Amino acid sequence: MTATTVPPEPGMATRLRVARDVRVSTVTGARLVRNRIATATMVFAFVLATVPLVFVIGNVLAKGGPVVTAGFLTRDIPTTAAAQELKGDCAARQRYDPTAVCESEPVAAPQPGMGPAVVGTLITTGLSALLAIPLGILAAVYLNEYGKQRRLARFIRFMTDVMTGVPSVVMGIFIYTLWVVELGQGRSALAASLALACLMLPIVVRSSEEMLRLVPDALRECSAALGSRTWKTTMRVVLPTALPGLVSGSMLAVARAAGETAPVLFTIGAASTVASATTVKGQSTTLSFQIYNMITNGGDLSPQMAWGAALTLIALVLVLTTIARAVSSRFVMR
Amino acid sequence: MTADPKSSKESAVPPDVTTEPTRAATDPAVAGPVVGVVTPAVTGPTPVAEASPGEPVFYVQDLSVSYGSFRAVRDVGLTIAKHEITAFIGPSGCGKTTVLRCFNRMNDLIEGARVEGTLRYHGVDLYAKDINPVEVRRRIGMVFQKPNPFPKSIFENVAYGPRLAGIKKKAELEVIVEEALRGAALWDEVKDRLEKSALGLSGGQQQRLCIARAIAVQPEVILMDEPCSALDPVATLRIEQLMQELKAEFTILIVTHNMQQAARVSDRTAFFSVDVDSNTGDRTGELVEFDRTQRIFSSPSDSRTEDYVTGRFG
Repeated sequence: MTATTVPPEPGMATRLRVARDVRVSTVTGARLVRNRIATATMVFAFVLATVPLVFVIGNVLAKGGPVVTAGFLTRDIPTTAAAQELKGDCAARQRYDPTAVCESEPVAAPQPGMGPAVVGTLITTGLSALLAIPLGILAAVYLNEYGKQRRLARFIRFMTDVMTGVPSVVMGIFIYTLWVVELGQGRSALAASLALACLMLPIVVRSSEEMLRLVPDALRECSAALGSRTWKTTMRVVLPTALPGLVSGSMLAVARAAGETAPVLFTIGAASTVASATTVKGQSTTLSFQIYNMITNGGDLSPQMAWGAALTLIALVLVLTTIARAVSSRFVMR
Repeated sequence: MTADPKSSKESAVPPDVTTEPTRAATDPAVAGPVVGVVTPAVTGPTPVAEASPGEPVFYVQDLSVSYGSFRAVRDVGLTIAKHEITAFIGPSGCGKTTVLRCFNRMNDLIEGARVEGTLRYHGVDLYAKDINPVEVRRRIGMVFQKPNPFPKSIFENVAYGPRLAGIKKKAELEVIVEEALRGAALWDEVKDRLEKSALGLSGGQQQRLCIARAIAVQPEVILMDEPCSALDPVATLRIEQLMQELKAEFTILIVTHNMQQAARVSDRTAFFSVDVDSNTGDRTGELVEFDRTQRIFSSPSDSRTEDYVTGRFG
């Protein structure tokens, strides 16, 4: 304390004095109101945000639930033509002749089935994941561990961002013109996988790069100080540390690919039996494609088949994500 | 001139310097040879001929480091002797750590860092074109300020370096890991949980694990960048004791903010300071004095050193 200290002006600081009793609230008036409004707004926003989610899941469960059985998941898709014909014959007759009795009811009424789509979805999604995830993670490793702020890395990063914004249907057209038409490969599960992989790639690259960036530089330094080359550090320290994040990002991309319809539309062709859909080079079908198909080509069974396919798709993605999480958590040490 | 730091303790020595030995001394568990030793005059670090240090490991001359256009340290010159502990002390921002990181080329990892001058390791210029920094780091290990084990098991942390060096047999690794953990005085505490995560260890244990990890590859030199700054006094004393033991096998360079620590553990001390350019306001670190620790703390030749070690700095 020196002699030059200016005594504080009385009255300034006293305004900040509060009652010694801590039970007395110091938050009053306008601030209290603002606090309440803000809290209420946040709660409301949260509820509002969950409404579509709850509605969608509830609706799909209610309408698709009764349809999805073991049989539904394994049976062939009843061709709309066959269903129409069986039903249509009698209905057409009755229209002209109301007294007509349909004596020969269809021997075996078509049963809803989505087997080929389930198989096709697993194959195309798996294949596209196989193509896009390793490539995407390697690209992210280049960007974060080697390229950093170099010109090439910045260019790739920019192009990846652009690619993220490209509509999925464009990916479909790209593979259709290049692979299906130009190269004459025809429609196939593989062609659809390529289109989906194009869609997944930028998502995997960007999310993986973010995850790699989260790995503390201290770990890289430690590893380097032990005489480790960058790629060894990457393989043994950086990637294992970032694994859970890499899995999450990749699964997000897988979920996206599994649900995409547009890239599959012109590239996959058609298949209605499980046997024919179990292929890589041949034509196949997917759940998302079938949902679209069922809604646009109305048959009697179509609506419930579409709901069933929707529920199956949601469940499939959920199961895949859960498995991936469980597997990756076995490799992580905290 | 205040030759004895003890006498000036009351005045302005940083708090950690005064409190630490007192608190540690009250704990019988850590009472070791270094406890209570405040002045190097009492400890007598391994006596070395003042004029000629032992076999030189490093020879440094006119070493300057810049980050981009900013010159962090300039014109450092010193010689590091084998089996000695050399301490770098000085105020924050004087470039101690920057200089330390030159010794195993860690500055290479920082974009824009540039090292000029001579730094010879057993006569070989570490910054020559044909020198692979990985080979440098293989021989010159480092322990960092924050204990940062890999998110792996205790065993895998220590086995990391040996694995990189190509040792694959589990039995061989087990021997190496045990030896390193014993060397870091950690074996007894972790021998039953080698497969558990290293992140479950306490801060002091983690830092000893990092030391074990560093010595597992049998480097010749260990660089320590404020290894105790994140630790409590008890853990600090354990590390200091450990350094005395490791000295027989390794050459140690340590950066520390804690002058008492430098006085306790080191044989030689380099005092760095900051030179502020009166025109540009640029702050550049420089080596003020390098001598036997005992001399630095008892009869420094530079007045800035004296001001710093007696707590009259700034």
